[in-house]
Formats: sequence, C-alpha cells, structure tokens
Amino acid sequence: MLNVYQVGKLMYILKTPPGIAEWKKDPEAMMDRFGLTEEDRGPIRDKVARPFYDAGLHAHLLGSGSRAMGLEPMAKYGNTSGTPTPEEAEERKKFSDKIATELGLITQTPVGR
Amino acid sequence: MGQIVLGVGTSHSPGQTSQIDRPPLKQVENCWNAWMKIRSAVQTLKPDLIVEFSNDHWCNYYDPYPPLAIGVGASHYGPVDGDMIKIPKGQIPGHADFAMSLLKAAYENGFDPVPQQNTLIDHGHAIPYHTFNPEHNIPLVPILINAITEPMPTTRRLYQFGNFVRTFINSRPKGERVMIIGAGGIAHDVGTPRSGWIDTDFDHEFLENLEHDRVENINAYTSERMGKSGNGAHEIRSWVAAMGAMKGTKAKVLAYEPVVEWITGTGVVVWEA
Repeated sequence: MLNVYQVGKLMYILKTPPGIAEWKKDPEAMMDRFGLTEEDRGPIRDKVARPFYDAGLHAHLLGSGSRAMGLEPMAKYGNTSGTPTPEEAEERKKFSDKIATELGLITQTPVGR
Repeated sequence: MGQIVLGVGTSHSPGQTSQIDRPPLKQVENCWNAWMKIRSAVQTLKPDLIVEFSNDHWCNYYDPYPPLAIGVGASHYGPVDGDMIKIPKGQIPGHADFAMSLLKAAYENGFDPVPQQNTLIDHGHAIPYHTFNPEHNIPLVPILINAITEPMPTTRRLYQFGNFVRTFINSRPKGERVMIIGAGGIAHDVGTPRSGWIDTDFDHEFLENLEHDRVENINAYTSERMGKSGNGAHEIRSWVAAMGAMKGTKAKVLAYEPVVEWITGTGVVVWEA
C-alpha cells in the first residue's frame, strides 16, 4: 500500500527552492530521508503520477510534485477553445502586453524554466 | 469608527496573469475590464488596508492544516509561486496592529483562527492583491481559509466569521477604511484527469445566490456539493466569508467567463458599500 502521507510530505517540501535543489542533487537520499518504501518509490522511478492519485494523494500536491520529480502528470493542461486567426492572436498579444505593462508583470521567462 | 469601503469576489487562477494572451480576446477583455474597474475604484477610494480571504495551496501548511489563519506579521513574503504567475516576489506590507486586534476580538467572539507571523503568500492572495494594488502600498491582512483538504470549514461558519469581521471593522476606534476581497473558484478542477472541465451550471447558480443575497442557499453548500464541481470549487468559501463581511450591501456580477485556457469559471463580483 502506497504511503500517501509520506509521499505528500515529500512533495510539499518540493514546492520550495531548497527542496528542489535537494531532489536534484540526490533523489534516493531524499526518499530515504522521508521514509519512502520500495513500493512508494516504484511510480517515481517509473515516472508516473497516477498510482499516487488513485491512492488518494491530493491532486494539487501531486501536480507540483510531479513537475518537480519529472513524473507524467495527471492533468493535461494546454486546453484551448480554438486556434485564433493571426489577427486575433495579434490583438490578444497587444491586450496582454498592455495589462502586463500596467501591472508590472514579469514578461521574461525566468532562467532555468 | 472603521468602515468597509468596497467588497470584491474574484477568481485567482494563475492564468489570469500568466496566460492573458491565450483565451479568446472577448473573454479576457470582459474579465480584465472588470478587474481594472475595481483597480480604478481602489485608486479613488484609497483604502487604508485590504483584508483578503483566500486559501493557501500547500505552501504554508502540510500537517496540521488550520481551518482559518490570520497573517499578523508586519509584512508577508510572496508570491512564492511568483515565477508561475509573473508577479515579482518581495515583501508585502502587513498591518500587525489591525491583524492582532482582529485575532484577539475573534477569540472573544467564539472564533479561533491561528495567528501566523510569517505568512507565505501564494497566487491565492497575490493575484487579486497585485491586480488591484500593483504598487503594493496598501497593507494586506491575509486570512487563510482551508479550501484544500478535508475536513474544511462550513460555508455557514465562514459567513458568520465574515459577519464578525464586519462588526470588528465597524468597531475600530482608529477608523480605518477597509477593502474586503474574497478570492478563489469558481468551478475548476486542478491536477486531475478532468482538469479543463468547467461546471458552468454551478457557477451561474452560485453567482445568482450572491446577487440575490440568498444566504440560506449559500450556507447549504456542503463540501460534497462543492467538490462535485471540482477540487477548486471549494474555494468559494472565501467569497462566502466576503459575503458575510458585506452583509447589508448588494452584490453585482461584473463579469463571468468559463475560461477553458485558465481551466476556471472566472468570476468578478463587487459589493458597493
């Protein structure tokens, strides 16, 4: 039986920069530290999130944890209500730029993403 | 005597600030025109502080997960998920005196929120706060409602808590002018195979209940009912607390769009005090 509580706790820590750094350095050591069993490590090594979802791990945590661990995510984002015409795409971009400027939003993708 | 000068209910989907150019322009303009209208009102009304009901997304807590917490620090840090939502990270001013007084008054009035000195602000609070006050010059008192993991507080209890917050503000001898925000929802499902599905029937019904001030209908929403419309639909709890704080004023829906690209039924409501 998967230990959802401990896997979730690990994924909670993986929401922080130090947690991600620790994971990147040595995932096995981190799984040791959180007391993950061999069974718990199976889906992580197989890069799949579904078994944790089926076992009851909260989907929010699983989403961010999957990104950090490089697991195949449960949710497929990128839904779209249709492909815009080039004119519409241009209008969307103009509007988006206007809001981003007005609110001082970050317009460049941070390094490392 | 203090007073509430404006109340707002709004979604806080990360796409609102990070994917403005993805959905159809008509939907985006409808939502953003509403948010900008509120931003304008904030500039005119110049509230002394913002009390924002919203929820943490596994950033501050894992176990235990408090039903209700108040950020009582002189400042908060965030947004911790700032890269994802394109909002610059940094210190956000708090209002320790107001927050601590609110906490003490809560205890005297039968509510037991957890005091939190160091509050991490995630998109739940940050998107509305930044949208309405991008200068970050209005102190924020974040109230964190558990809308993530069962068991969660009932809508009835949160409506009552909102009422209490209103009474507290009105009793303040310092006479602050306060803006109330309830942030989250409406229907959406995060991180599951059905993400992207939006229960528009639920959204319309909820907004109608707000507009017609149907408190008993609002108080009758169970966790099970909210969960059927997606794990993110639990976040309407924050709107309910705001509704309680805005008791006696009329809610008006400024915008509603089921934005597929943001995987969220996106709503904007204003209560004019």
